[in-house]
Amino acid sequence: MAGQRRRLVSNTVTAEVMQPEPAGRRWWVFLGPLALVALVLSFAIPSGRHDWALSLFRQPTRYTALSFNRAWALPGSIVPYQPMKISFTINNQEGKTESYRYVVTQTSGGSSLMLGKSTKTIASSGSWKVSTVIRPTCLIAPCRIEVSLPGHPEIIDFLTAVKA
Amino acid sequence: MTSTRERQSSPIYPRKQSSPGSRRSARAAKTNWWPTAASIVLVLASNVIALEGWRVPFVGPALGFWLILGYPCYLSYTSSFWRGASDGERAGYSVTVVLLLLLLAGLFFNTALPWFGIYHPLDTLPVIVIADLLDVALFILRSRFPARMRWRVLIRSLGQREGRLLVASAVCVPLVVLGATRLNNGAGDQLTLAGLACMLVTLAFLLRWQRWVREGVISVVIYLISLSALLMTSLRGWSVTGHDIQGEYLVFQLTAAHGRWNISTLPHSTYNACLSITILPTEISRVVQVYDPDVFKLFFQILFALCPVLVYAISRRHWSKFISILAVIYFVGFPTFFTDMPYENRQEIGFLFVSAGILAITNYWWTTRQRRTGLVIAALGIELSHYSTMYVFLGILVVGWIGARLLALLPWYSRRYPRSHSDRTASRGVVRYTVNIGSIVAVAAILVAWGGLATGTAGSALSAIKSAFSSNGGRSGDVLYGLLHGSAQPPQVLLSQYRQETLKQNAAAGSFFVPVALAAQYPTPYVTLPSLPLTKAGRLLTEHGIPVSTVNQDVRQGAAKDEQLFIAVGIVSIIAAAGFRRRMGAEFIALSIGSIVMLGLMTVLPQLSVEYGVLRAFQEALIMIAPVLVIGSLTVFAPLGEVWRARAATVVCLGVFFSTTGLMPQLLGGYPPQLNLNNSGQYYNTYYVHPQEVAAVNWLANKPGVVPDGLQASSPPNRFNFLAPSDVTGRQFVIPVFPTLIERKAWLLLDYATVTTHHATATLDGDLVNYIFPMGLVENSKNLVYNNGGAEIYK
Repeated sequence: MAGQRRRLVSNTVTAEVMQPEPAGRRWWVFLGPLALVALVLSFAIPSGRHDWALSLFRQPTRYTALSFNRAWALPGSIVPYQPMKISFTINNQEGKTESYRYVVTQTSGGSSLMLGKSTKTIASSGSWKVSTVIRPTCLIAPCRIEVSLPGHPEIIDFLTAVKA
Repeated sequence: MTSTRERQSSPIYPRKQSSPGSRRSARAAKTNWWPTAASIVLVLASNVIALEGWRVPFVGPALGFWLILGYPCYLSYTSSFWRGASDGERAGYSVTVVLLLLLLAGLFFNTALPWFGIYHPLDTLPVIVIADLLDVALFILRSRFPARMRWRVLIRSLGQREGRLLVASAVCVPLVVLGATRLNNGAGDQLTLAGLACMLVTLAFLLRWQRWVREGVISVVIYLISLSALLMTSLRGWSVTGHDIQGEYLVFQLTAAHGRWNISTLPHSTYNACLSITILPTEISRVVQVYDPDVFKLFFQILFALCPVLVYAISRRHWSKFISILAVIYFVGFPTFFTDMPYENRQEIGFLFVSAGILAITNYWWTTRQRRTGLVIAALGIELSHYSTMYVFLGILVVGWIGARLLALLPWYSRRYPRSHSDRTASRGVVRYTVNIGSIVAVAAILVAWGGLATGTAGSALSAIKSAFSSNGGRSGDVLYGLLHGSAQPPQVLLSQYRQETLKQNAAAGSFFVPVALAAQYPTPYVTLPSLPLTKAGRLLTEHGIPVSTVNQDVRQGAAKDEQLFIAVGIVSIIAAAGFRRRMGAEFIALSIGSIVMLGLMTVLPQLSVEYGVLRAFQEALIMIAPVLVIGSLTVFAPLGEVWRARAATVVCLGVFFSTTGLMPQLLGGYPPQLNLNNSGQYYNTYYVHPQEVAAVNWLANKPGVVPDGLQASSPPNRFNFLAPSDVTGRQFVIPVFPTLIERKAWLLLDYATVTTHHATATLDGDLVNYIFPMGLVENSKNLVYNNGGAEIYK
């Protein structure tokens, strides 16, 4: 038992003495210039420069934002064939000038109908505020009015009841 | 404790007071004027830059950090207050003292200046006054109590191996920083993997060469590797990424926006009671002048990376370099350290104070009174920084104190440890206990004074403790990593139960929520997030009949259970073996037992595992018991013989690090993705803030009706809080939504994961549970009013 205890607190636990350092090879003499050459080469190659840019700087996130302007006050009901004003904004964050086409459609009872469309080129970081009048023809509730941007996945919509 | 020989080789020792007018003193004064002049110039420059609000890239933040933390810590470090302390320990005392002074000075200004008509006491000018006063006071003190610096001697005497280790550990930092930037830009994990591999190799060589490496160098290597491990996670995302940090950032912004900390601004928030995430980051942000999230993401990590160095210093009190380095590897390699701590900044600062407190308790160069004073000061720092850390710390002290008395009743134990009233000259086994009833009462009084009287936040802890003993509720899934874990509810069952409860709640609330009949039509099935695809190496192993997923799972589970087994074996060995007991001292053994008991309580009592988190408790316990874990592993491998047990313990320790840091699963695949290496996985889905989400919140911030009608979000919602200085009021709450509880009138924000994958996350019993979000339900009940492809807002 005493031998076992001694073994438990033996060299691994108690070794404290600093030993004189044996001489080693000077790897840094070779590794340093090698690393420097690799670094220079990586900047010389276009893909290398691209990788450096990805590692050093924040790259912009590209997206398009589509939103209703008076989102808190969208119409809760429509009267068929009566004009109705809607307004929305397209915001271009794609990092380049883009041509946007919007389409306004109504969907009701399984059928769809286009109510309006237009096209405009928007500069990078620019916005297009659209105010347009549509005449929904839904006769069956609920009627969904949808704004989409063909070529882009973003869609916004609202549901309305139908007044007689 | 460091040996006499090592102390002599330390670069710092107290300067002998020379007689006035002595020639030597005059010559020293002539030659040493330039550091003082340089310091004055730097302090003045940082004053001007901060006051003028100039944003000078890199230089401005560096000078600001130098002014408020770097220089005062340097002055404290190079004074003779900490005589007898090792380099790491000295750094620990210096940093925690400066942090405590900043907290107290900020609190004093915050309370006193409004009496004199200054209603923004934490604006730039008062904060600079605090920093300048601190610098001047420490400069005067250090002039009276200097320690001679021998930096040049230290640098000149660097050995070849020491140089290699320093360079290798320094290389890890840029690798992980650039790696995080690459991942944030949507590129691959190559650089972070290289950084992790570099960390592993450096640690292996540190172990191999430890006999030729001095204490100071080991501390620096540990610091740089710890910093790399933290930055690897903290720098993920361009905004505030992570769980608790998003709530922490809210209270920081609240304080910064008002230029004043006020507990009543957010009365029910325990976060707001933590000065470490309100006053401290506000002070730092005023002088470093960086994008505010970087105060947490960068500067707090620079501070917390010191904690493993302190763990090393604590271990070195009693154990060899070899054991202490292994202990630090277990501490840094524990998943909570690098995946969760960067998201819990208040606890990071709390842990620094805990480590300093333990160092104070075990500082045998100090008298008993000095040790007790050190303990109480550290406890004050813990309480001001983080309430929960304080509860656990107090628990450890109480259990340790009781344990010490119970152990003393054992005749075979107490016979070897006669109590002595001599202090400094006594061996550790007979030193008078630091933790006595008086110091426990003092620590408890601090807790009551701040948590109870000043901030009124202790009530939540008391109710958690009460419910812990009475609750039949669930327990966190983290307990499944425990050796004696009992059982936790499967997530499917939790989700199903929650759905039924919320449907009932919906039915009882009338027309407040979407119609219950409609909500019931849309199921919310549990979903498991996909694992990483197998890599080439993973496929090769699979072809040879090795199931990679199972191997990854078993290694991770095995690592968790092995660590607990090693701790159990270690503590038994220490109590049983007289040599160990003499080495550690009765009090430290008792406190280690206290840590283990507190950890056990967290596991056994379900409510505590939900409220505090077993893994965080384990990380806190490791500050003290990491070397016990290593002793356990050496004891388990003892039959292999002296040489091979050390090798086996090293291989197991590095193997655990290889697995838990994510290096092994990333190289093989077939395991859930970790945020530090991937743009996928649980944490990425739940906590990563995408620019599209920021854009959506900014769009919503200007809309009427957001506050009265409420804002709901599909995942844990803190990341959607309004954080622009003009918007932060503390009254804008974002409510997490479960599909059955969608409010008719509220705005609803669907996050990136929900929009792109239809996966949403609910927090149930402290665990994250994923389910399929029923998009049809919102499409048929609300208007989609904002859409940018990465976030959608419904009204």
